[in-house]
Amino acid sequence: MADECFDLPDDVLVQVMLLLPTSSRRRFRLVCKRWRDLIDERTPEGRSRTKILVFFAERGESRALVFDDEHGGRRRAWTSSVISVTNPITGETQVLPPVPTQRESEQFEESRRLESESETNGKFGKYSFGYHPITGEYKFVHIPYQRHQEVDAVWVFTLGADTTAWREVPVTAPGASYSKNHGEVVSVDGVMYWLNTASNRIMELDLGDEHATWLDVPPSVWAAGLTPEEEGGVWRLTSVHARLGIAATTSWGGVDVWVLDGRPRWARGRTLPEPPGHHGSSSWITAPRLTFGEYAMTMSRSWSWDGRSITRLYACIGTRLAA
Amino acid sequence: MASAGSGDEKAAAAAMITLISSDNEKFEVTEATATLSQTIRHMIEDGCTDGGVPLPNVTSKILARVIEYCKKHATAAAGEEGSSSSFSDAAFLEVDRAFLEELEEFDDAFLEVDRATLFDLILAANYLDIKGLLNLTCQKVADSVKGKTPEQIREMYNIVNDLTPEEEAEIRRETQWAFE
Repeated sequence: MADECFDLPDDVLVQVMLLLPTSSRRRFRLVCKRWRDLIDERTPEGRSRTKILVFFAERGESRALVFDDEHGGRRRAWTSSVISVTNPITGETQVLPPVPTQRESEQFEESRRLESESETNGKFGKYSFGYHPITGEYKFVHIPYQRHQEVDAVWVFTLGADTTAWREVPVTAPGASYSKNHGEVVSVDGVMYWLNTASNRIMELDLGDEHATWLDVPPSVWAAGLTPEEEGGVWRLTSVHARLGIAATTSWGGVDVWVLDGRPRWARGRTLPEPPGHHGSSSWITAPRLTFGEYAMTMSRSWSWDGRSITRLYACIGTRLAA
Repeated sequence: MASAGSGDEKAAAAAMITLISSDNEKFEVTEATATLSQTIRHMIEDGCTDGGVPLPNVTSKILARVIEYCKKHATAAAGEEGSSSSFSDAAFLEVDRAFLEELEEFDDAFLEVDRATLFDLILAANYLDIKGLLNLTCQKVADSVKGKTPEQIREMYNIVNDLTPEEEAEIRRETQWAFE
């Protein structure tokens, strides 16, 4: 008789769900329609969906925009210099300490120093943030830049953990390296991906067991004669509809997309149309996320001269995907 | 334990109620035990418990377990009431802690059942409106699913995934974090 959850009345199932941590409830929306609907309608999750965040960092300051609604409405922008995380539900804010390889002051200088420095000895690195759907943990990862050197360890900070310190996690996968010019670190479904310096491997860090491995860049990308952004090329890692993707701008201005469709198979995705042009601007592919709902996003930068100074203007352009 | 004993004596003097399971087995319980169930409490208040309370949704096997839970917790409740007036604060706290520990051990042992029984207990606790038991059993289910993947949950409970690939993608999208 009662050997499955469906025998429990809605009220009871809701009671069980209310006893679960938020992260479990979020994940269990994937179980079936009934679970999804009960979680949406009868628990706090329904009204606290993740919002998309666009984040700019340059010369010691950062700005973030939260896109609030399906129509791309913006909510707020702020500036900050250190990493701080705010839980949008509780309003609780946690300020992260610098990684142990840095002095307090160095994290502020990071973006400026990196533009000129080629030898950094792993002192500086790339920060990334990811969520693991099974452990329900949110983690920051700091990948050190080590020019011409393999990365043998990354730093990991788990949000809300008992310890409030960065942990050094060894990376045993061969060929792990990171260069700041290789675009963004992309976090999809509990796995963090970045491109190695030779641009032939995508490094993978599982945010659950923190084990690192790698997969090959699909031959079709190479066959298309494309080169990654670092070499003046035009492709980068990004996430496409919650999957790992490689996006490349084509000679005619559109964007070609490959999507990791069941490891290690890559599927040629659709070709996105050319974004509406901005006069005097340069545009590039967005990462770590290319799509937002039905929109593909591109970033564009232009300059404005008011007689005294030059202002850089950034725009995030959404192109509606054809149905 | 002195206070537990005094609770029993009090309970023994109280009126008895007969509960009748779906398979027609009769259980004699004290009113203090029976009124842990809000459903039965209301029936007693309405004066409709003469001749026994039929519980067509609860088998004798499950009802026996439910009564076992109610007896223990009714005793504990009575014990706490009795002790609060007759002991100094420190002694009271000491007794109180011993009670809670014993109760916790009882609850842990009580939950050592297979999944089908656990679900039957939940249904009975829900029907009889026994808050403590419902909370206890629901917590047990929550603990057992907490760390599981959606796929593992479906396997555990024979749930068919009726989400379309599009709906699944939509949910995954909503669960994503975007951060640079």
